[in-house]
Amino acid sequence: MNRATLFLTILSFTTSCTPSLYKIKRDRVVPLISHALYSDESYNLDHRSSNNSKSFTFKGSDGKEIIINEAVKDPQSGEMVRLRHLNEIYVSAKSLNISERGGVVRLDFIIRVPESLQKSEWQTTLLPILTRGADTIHLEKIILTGYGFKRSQIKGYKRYERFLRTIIPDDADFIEVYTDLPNLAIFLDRHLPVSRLISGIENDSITTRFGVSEKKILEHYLKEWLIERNNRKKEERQRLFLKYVKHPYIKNSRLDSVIKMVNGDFAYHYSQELNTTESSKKISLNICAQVKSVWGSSLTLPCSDTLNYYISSMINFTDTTKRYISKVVERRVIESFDTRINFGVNSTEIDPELDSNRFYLSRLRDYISNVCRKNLYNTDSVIITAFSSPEGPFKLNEDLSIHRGESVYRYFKRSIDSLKMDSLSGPIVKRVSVAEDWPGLRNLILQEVNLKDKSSILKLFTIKDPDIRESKILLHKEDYRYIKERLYPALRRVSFTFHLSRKDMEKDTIHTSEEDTLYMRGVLHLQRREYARAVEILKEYRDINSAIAYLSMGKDFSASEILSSLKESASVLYLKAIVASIRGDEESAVNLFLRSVELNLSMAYRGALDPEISFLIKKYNLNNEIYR
Amino acid sequence: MNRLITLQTIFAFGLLSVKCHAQNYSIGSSLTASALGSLNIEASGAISGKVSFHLPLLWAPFQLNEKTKLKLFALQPGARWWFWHVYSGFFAGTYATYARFNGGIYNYRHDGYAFGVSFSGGYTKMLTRRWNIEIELGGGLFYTKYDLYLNESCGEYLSSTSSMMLVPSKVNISFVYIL
Repeated sequence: MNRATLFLTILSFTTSCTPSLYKIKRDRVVPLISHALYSDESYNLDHRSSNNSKSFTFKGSDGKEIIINEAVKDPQSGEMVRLRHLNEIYVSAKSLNISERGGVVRLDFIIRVPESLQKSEWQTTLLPILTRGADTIHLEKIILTGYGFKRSQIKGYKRYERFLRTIIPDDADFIEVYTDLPNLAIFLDRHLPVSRLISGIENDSITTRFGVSEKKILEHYLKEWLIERNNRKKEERQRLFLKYVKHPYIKNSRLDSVIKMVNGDFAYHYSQELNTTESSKKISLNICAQVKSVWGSSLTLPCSDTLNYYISSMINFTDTTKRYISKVVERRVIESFDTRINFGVNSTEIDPELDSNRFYLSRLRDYISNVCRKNLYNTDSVIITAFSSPEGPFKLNEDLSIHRGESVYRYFKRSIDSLKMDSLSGPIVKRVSVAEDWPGLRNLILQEVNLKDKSSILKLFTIKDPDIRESKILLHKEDYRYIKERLYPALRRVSFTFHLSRKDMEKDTIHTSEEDTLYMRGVLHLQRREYARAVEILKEYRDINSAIAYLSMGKDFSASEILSSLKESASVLYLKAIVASIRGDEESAVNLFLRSVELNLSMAYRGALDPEISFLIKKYNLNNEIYR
Repeated sequence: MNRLITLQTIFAFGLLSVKCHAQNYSIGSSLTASALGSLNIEASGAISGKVSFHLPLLWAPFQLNEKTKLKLFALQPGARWWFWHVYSGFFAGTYATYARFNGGIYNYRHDGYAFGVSFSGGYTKMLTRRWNIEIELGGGLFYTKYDLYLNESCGEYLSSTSSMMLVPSKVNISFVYIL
């Protein structure tokens, strides 16, 4: 055989493998998609069989042919005329309005795979792709597998399974599988009868009388080659899977159908529910298809035509007018501010370096400057109250709290002066001192959980003399230490009470309206189609927005309750019509819809978008009424 | 001849009477030697996990007919090196042979003795706790000296021959009992 013949032979082999794939590519065969309407049941019918023209030829005895046709009476002339059935022509719209209910839309479409794409040796994979705004969603695939293709797949998997079965599983008994067990058993019986190796209990310390250890015996009778072979096989799993299974099964498919006999086009009604999002007003749908042949060649078909879905939802009726709530503003404002300034033992001077004084003092200064800068308020008076803890004799504490209050007052004055705040120059500053803050201590003890004798300590609070009271508490040694270390510091504090008044107000109270931000947040949730959250907020307001939120959630009872309490408008009437239609009350639904159209003509067009109304329009031919 | 029987018996019982610790000693008998018409017994003892000493005795007292006979007494003391463990698996060995023979076939009868050194190798398969089956092949260099007679009753002396030769000296398939 010379070289040219060889070349020609090879060429003829390679081309003969995929002649029809090439043909598919040349003819630009693509799968078709169309919308499936709820009333459309024609997708699964064989169209060729419906083409039964009812005319036949009668051949008379004289040889004359008479063509007999179905006939009907012409309503105008009264003559009988021949009836001719024409072949059906399908006109499918490329876009469709679908309605959203409960945050979900349902897409129904029919995928048709032409007969020429169904061959025994082929597998056709169809991938519906949705485009929604910037998002691309791959829906589940549809797979049409030719019988020959499926058989080759199964054969591959069987070969792979046969290989897998030769692998010794990990849970197999090691001694039984990987050792020369009969000889090992005899040897152990003969030389090391005490060993329980066969039962899986190893004991390396025992040896035969010639000093051969159990481990060495096991090593001798171990089939290392078998372990190695098994490990090698395990490593080769991936490689052999690829070798044997040329076309793995495709997972996560909606349909994996095996075509045994080709019988016209293959049609599949694909139904998909989709959560709607803020951006999803328009959804585009394409089908991408790939054909693979048993011999390994594949062809990606050009994409199908695009189907568009326009989503209509109730939120178009959303009322976005702002709401206001009335608020009472008082002229007088009392604000209090607690600060903890630590003093040294028996000291009455403020030491900024002590503990966290610097932090608390800077907070006090910030607060004062904050009150002044707002310029909304006049400071009428300030009350400075100094507290001290019950530690030590009452008399001493009384003196200390008075003096400490004074030094804080001096500090406060200095800060006001340094800030140069005119508004604060005139306030009346009162000093109050509380010698031992027993009520404060009582509150702290009540909240505390770490005290052992909490109830008995609380009982001691009835003792009148504070010094005796303290000496009694001192008897609970552990608790007292805790109180002294943890609770007393919190009691040594200075409290400021600012009595402020609004500068621009003369009356004591004023009524203003403020934007209701909560309501607006609810409306925002509604617009984002977060219905559950929207209902949570809007249910209190009982207006059209709350009705829309309820209706979108599918809670038509709550929606109708709210709608019936609202003032009649085109939108309200329209929503009422939808509720009535859902409940099956067609008469009132039609009435309500027509009344809403009377108020606003655009509702007639809207009606075509909602399935609840559009079916009524079709059924009772309401559009005629409207256009007239 | 009586002397020989006594010797063999003493030897066999002598081995048995040693206080046996399990798996240290064995006695066996070769099927091939028995098939050729010789009574045989092989006693052995192991001194370590790898080395054992062996003493096979062969005695063929039988005569097939007037013309065909092989009367033989042979002793083959030797040692074996076991590659894995005594009385199990492959082994290689060496042994000395002394044989006294008087055999006749067809026209001549040979009456003499032979001694030599041989090397052997074989394989032992464990059958049960007590029983082994063993195959052993061996051969070596022999010096032999014999008188040649005519093969008949009180046949005429012809000549005496002595020679060195390489001969196979063991072809055994034996059953061995481990003591």
